Amino acid sequence: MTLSKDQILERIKARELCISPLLEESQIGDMAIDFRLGTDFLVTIHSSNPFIDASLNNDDRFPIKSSFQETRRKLGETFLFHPNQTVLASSLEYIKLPKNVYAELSMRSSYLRLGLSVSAIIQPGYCGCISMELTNMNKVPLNLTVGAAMIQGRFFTLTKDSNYFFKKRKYMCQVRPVISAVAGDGDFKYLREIWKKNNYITE
Amino acid sequence: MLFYIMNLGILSKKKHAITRVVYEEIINQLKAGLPDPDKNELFKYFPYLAVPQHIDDLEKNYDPYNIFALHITEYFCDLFASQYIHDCSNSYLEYITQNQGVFTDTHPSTVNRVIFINDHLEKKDGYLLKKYKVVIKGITKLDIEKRAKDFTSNNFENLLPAEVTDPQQLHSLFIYGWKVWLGNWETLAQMAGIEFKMNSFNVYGIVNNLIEKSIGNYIILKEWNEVKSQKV
Repeated sequence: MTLSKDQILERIKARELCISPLLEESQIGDMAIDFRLGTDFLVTIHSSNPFIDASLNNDDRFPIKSSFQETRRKLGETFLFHPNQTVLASSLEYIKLPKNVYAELSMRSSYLRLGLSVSAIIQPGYCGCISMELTNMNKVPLNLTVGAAMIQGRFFTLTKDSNYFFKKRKYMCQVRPVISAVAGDGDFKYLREIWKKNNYITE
Repeated sequence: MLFYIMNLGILSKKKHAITRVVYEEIINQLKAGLPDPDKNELFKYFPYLAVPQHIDDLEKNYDPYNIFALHITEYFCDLFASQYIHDCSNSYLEYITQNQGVFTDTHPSTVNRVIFINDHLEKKDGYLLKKYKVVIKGITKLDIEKRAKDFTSNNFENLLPAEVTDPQQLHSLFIYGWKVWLGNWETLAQMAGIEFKMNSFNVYGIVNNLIEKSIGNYIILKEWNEVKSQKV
């Protein structure tokens, strides 16, 4: 079930759903909440590495972080977003979801029309700023304002509670964009063994 | 906030002036003769002053980087910081120096630094604390006082940024963070609904992030509300 505006407001009042700071109540629409572009960015850069190694073979010889650069803007400043660039940003708002509510993110129509895209799901019980993995699909650069309401989250209820922290999490209470922790995916150790076996690698 | 930053600037510019005056007054008073309790207190904080020949050398050779001047400056810095972070600097010092009981050429012993700050916070001013406070007031016209405003919150334990409404409370965030860090992590996990066993890396990350966001939110809200109230 999608949460309506009244239901969202009820959850906020009961402190089950936390959004901090909520600069304007008008950010809460009939069926979604608008979230603002935060102050911190991780931008892909050309580094000494030939590519970003997100494969099972990355033994930290080519750390993913070496292909990203951190940059920060103040509220009201702008950020120039180049064509085909992927930028990791965060929402200005820190959120905490109830255990039985998850959220789906999409770009607000005004920004979608400019060629920006985002797609993500926030799990029940998540707390932290929302990670915004943005891509400029346009052929021209876009200048964006920090603090502008860019994405919207729709909230859905589950029939059963789910505890986000039942296991160790890669991202806990994050307040700025965090580099992909793909190398920490547990499946890699099995996939690596299969790869070694198929290639007769014995070391 | 600006007021405190200005204070910080003034005090930091005048750090060497404060050191020099404390330095000279202590030497002069030692040579003129101090009551035994005051003298013993000084020898506790600056053990090398117990050797009369050293006092003569220090009197003749003032240098902001000699051992006595550097130690005076360190005690001053601790005193200055305690206005904002209370005894948190003690925890940090004990952590990085492993409660070191001996002084070095540049720093007094951690044990003495901790005693000095605790005495100040417990308002047990001895000769040295009184000396600093009089000299600081004379040079800066400012008192050493508690500048962090207490506030109660359990937001960090619920994995939420604290809601700060007063700039003086910003300093208390650091104190609050230390309280959580030094507290019982199992209680924290229980309150936050964390089922896995947290390690120091997890707790450090949580506390650090929440302090950062609490400060950030305060600044964002202040800027937003100020502009809104002007009806731009």
